[in-house]
Amino acid sequence: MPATVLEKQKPLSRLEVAQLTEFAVDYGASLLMSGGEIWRADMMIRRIFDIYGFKNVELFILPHTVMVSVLPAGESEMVSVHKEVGEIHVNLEQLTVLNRLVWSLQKQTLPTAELGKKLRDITVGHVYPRYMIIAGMALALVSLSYYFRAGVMGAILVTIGIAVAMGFQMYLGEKLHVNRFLLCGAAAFLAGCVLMLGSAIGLHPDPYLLMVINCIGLIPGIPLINACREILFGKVLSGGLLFMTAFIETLAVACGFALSSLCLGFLL
Amino acid sequence: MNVWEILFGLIAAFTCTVGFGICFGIRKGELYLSGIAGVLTRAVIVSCEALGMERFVYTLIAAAIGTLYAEIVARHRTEPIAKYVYPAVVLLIPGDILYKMVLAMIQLDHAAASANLTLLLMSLFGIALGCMLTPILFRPFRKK
Repeated sequence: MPATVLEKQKPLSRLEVAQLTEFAVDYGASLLMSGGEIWRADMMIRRIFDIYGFKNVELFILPHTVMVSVLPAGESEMVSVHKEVGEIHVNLEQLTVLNRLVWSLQKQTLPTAELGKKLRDITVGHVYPRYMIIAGMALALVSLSYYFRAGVMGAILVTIGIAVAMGFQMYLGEKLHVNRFLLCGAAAFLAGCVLMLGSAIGLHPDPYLLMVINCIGLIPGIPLINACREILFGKVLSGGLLFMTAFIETLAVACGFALSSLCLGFLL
Repeated sequence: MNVWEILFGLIAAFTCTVGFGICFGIRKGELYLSGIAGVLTRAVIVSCEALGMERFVYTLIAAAIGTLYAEIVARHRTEPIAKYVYPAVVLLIPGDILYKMVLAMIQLDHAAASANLTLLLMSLFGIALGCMLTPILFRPFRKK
């Protein structure tokens, strides 16, 4: 269907405002789920409303919630929509496509009824299959092994460890429906057991060094940096919450590794 | 550190960032751009370490230069800056300090745990501050 250029001055009906608000909330949630920063979601949602002629929009965005309220012209009751954000998986291709959508709206506005469909149409999903993601992480950690002087056997053990941990998270995690922190801890525990067993049979003398390398692959590094950026931008509440979530996940990963060394330490 | 070590270090930075790029969903044709970001960041770290700088200072400088690269590439390709910032800073994430901190906590070594926590927070805020410097400098030239 060809895009229609709307007159910006024409006030939107309550139904259109509701459609626009719902689209903005879905957009913000998609942005956050793709690894976008909270300030970016805030800026983009405001930009969407700005395109449709709304200057005063009330936004409340936390790492796992997006809430938008807006007052339609000539009415006393606000339109308010909120949505829970699912799990965050950094997907930079999705982030790019979402950004392009707002840029295209700036050039040519669409009728509000079409916005939801447009958002669904541009959903990219995973760019690579799961095994490629695991292979990518293994490549990254093998490269890091060079800096840690872990040697060839160390790199092989790190690869097996991360493959076990990520395979567990990706394939079994979805079926088990357990708490995210428990899942991270369990994945780290399994990786730690692989590294301890590998060291026990004499493949590498220092399993703790390999655990440090594997730890880098499992911790949520990007959310931790984003949290610090949010705090420095003055968004202390959302930044603090994001930091706490990422920090607890990190603790779960490190505890998983530590637990494996406590359980299997007698083998060394 | 000899030339070969530096060269292999830069190659490792390239492959490492490409690996993370795959995990972050960067398309095949654009992976080399994230690899270059990693090489640039690593080169800055090596140079700063050679000059004897503290971790906080060199993470800040490396993050700022990585973000500058990301800003230039993103503008040239009209794409969001985040697409190139994440691969640039991923090598700076202090995973080793995180692990040492938690290990010290579990071993009830409070002194080591708090020392590592301080180092961790300084590194994270160093990266965050570095990432913010370039966009602030670019703000006056940004299109409205």
